[in-house]
Amino acid sequence: MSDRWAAIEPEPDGEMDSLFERLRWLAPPAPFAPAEAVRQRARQRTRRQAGMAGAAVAVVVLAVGGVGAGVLDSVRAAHPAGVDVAAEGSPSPTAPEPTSRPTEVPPQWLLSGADLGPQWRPTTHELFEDDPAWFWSGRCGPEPAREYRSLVERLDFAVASWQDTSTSESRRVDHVLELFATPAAAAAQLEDVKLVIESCGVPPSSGEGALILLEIADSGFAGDGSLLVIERAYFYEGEERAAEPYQRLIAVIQVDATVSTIIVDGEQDIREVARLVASLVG
Amino acid sequence: MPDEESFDAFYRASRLRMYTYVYALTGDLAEAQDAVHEAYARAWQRWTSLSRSGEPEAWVRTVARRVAVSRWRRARNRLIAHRRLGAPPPLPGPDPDSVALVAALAQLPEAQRTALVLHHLIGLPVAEVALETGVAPGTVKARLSRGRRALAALLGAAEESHV
Repeated sequence: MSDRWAAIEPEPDGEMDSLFERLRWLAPPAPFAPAEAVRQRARQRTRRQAGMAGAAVAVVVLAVGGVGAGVLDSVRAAHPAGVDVAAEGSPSPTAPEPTSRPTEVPPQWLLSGADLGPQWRPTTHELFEDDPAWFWSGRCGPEPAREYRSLVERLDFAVASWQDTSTSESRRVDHVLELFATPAAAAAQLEDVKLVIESCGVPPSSGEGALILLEIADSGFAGDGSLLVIERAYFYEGEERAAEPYQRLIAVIQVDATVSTIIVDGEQDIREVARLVASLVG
Repeated sequence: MPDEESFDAFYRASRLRMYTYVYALTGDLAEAQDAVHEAYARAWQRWTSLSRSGEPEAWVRTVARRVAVSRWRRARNRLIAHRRLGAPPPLPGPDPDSVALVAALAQLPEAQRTALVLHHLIGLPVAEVALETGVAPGTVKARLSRGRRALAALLGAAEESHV
């Protein structure tokens, strides 16, 4: 090793920071797109996602009608053959949906820092990928086609993430709230979550990624539609898998036409948080 | 309607930092820039809630990294196209030291590379790197230590080969 780089280790931060300094002002190969062009790209993404969701709706309708029998079991369980998914939950096949149900997540339905305590501050991190934007997507096993249900009948979703700033330990609470067209659609979503949990535990074929095990530890603690899930993730470092899992608790609760997923890192009492969230929505 | 003015100000203020971050992770100038544009487009889709969160930059950084890394894993397709169509025209590049640094980073495991870049380029403290990458602070420290050691060895070897 040459003398120039050998100096990095004894004073790692200072040497490293200066090494990275020149990267900070690196000019891009072309001018950045104007902000309007970025927003236009976002609008194109939205249209593309709407198109995908529309295609998935067609698949659901076929499956419910019997043509796609065996493909979307959870959809069929919640929606008997011949029932239009979009119409279910209405008093009659021709009656409109109740107008009192919102189509966007009201901010007051989300967990707030004040609900948790004065030391909790908002934080941001990505809980899941955008395509499809569903917390349970790709957690383990093959991607089931039925997961697109969450895009088909989900009207809106929102995320609130909170971090405990009173400790250097990682203590975080995330609340994902998904709003559906009907309580039946929300209930079916809960069934889909159970199917994902059942499919977990298949080791990855290569040494990359993590082995994720999910287990239902409790139910019914925040109403009938509530599940407590233990997630154990064995992360890989190179080719070695960690001996001890990274563990966290996840609560899933259905209230009316909503499904809340609460993820707790740390010692927060997740059942208590789940009951609080249920009261916010209910 | 989300607030265009606040999004535009955020985009202008943070895009260069985001770009250098992704470039340091991937070593590909053009891909880095496109991944950054893609990440900001996704941010605009949910700007109302992101801007309320107070930390949209961390969100965009995570998305940009995931977009870039998933594309990087598909880079083999580009290699095939390269063989078929020939090399693309050269882009104005960074200085040789930066190139050497990014080339050395590319040889590190992804977890070490990400920890080094978040800590030394973006300037996040260990606790925030831990939060952003979803691991314990002790794991971040270990990754930084191993990463620095490996980087020093790689950069030293690269320099000796040019002497």
